[in-house]
Amino acid sequence: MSEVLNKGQIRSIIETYLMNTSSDVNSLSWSIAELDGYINEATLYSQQITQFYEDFENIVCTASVSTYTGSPRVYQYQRFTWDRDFLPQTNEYELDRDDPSWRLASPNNPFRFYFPQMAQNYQIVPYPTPSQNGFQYAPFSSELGVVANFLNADGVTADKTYTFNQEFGIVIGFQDTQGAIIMFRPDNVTDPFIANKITYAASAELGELQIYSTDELNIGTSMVRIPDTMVSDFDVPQLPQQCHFGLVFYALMKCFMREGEFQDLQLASGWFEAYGDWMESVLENKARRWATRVRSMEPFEDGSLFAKRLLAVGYPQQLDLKPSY
Amino acid sequence: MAIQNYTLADFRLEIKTRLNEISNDGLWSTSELNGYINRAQLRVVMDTRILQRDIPINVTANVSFYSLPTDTLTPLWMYGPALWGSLRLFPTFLLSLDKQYGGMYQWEKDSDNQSNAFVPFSYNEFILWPAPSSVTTVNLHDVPVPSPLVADTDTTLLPLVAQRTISIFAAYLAMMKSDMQKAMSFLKEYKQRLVSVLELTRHQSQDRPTVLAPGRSFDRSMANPSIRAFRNSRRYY
Repeated sequence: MSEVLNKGQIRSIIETYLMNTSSDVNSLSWSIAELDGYINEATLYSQQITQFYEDFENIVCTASVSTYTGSPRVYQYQRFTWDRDFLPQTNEYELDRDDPSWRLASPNNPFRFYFPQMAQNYQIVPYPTPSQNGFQYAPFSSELGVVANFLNADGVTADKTYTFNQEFGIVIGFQDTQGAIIMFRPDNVTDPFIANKITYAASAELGELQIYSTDELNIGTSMVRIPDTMVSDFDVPQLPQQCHFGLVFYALMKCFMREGEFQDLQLASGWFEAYGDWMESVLENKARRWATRVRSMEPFEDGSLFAKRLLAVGYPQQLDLKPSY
Repeated sequence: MAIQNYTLADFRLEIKTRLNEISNDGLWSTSELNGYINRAQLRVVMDTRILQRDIPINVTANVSFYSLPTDTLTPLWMYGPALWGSLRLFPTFLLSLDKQYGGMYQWEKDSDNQSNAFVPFSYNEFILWPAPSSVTTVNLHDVPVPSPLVADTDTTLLPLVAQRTISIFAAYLAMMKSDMQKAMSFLKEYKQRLVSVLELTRHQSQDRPTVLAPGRSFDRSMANPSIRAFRNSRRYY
């Protein structure tokens, strides 16, 4: 037994609490699909509260193309680079103020970026428009070569137990020794769920790497992620394992908040309190990670960390929450 | 007489007593209670940070990006290998590295060397800077996730005062299935008992504020007679 829980295990714990073990989707109580929906919602909500899961991604630049679309995985961007140099954010007002003819600027090496529009995905404009194509290797061809190696769980040494054959597919395992800080990311085009997302070793089931790019001459981003939607029962929430059990409480709150025969707002409130208690402990623990890293001039935060994050992301309004929340 | 050391079966018996379901499985099955006990153990370690250890992480030349061990719960600090003088590595931020030399320093393109700083990234990764120039290990001091109790005879690594809070919290988790109000009274009891465990933690770590540097009056080096004598002697040079 481990404290890493996959979607199936989380649902099983929820069903035990609900004393609802029926697998009949037409049963009057809570269907599997409904519980799965709650678990996914709990994962997103917990990520919004904790902001635990961060990621890197490259946006491949094309010469003379000005606007790029950010990945749908982004919750909030943290940092942009172009060709591994920090790219400060600006806006159109500042550009107009500083250089009225900036819109006519010829392509060159970008040194700023701005977000021109807001939509489902971020729109990104590096300024000036890039004048060169960025590095990317896709699709793989026989000319470029295909194979590297698997890495062991330490993420460093090559795993010699794998030989590449038709059964396992052909790829995977890269490192860029020319200075890119992104060595190799799991292939989240094919399957984002590697158990606990710790190991860099791919498995036979993951398939092959489809695209590989470095941040050389490209836009490199770091961001707070939106967790992937879990589909299979073996998918693991992309949060540290201490958060996994908390998801149970959130889903139970949703179960009892649902309109209908089983609605019980008092119970829902109780489960949300349990969720808050667990997440408070998670956040307290998060605040103590890397204890000597200076985050603020105040040595101790006042009051509840969970309550503050709750105010930032909103809380279920049907519940009559105590003033402490 | 020996000091009590709870096994999984001991925990379960105590919880069943609290739940008034001692002899047979009724509302709660054995495997269910074992699950609650393990989650309670995790929660106690989260709240008290009593388990701590040093664990090596392999690093290789010219690669900056590494993962924390899979069972790290709370990473606390890191220090380099003897090869780098066993010096402490300092946590920093990507944007702090960007700001070096007025923002003109291209640190991502820097050559490899002895790492002296690291950037914690996501919940399970970190970036060493400069990238190491050799294959070696850095050492992480962390709070690990406790090993789960599986067999009835398994015991925890926690001291007795912390063990006692496990059954209270596990009873809270179990009671929520039956009566939310009674469960909340267990939670309250857990939080009260936890204070005694935290006292133990404070004694063990001799905590001083780590975020703000303590003032001169808190400088403990003067408590060492030889240092005090050395400092005092300098006045007369």
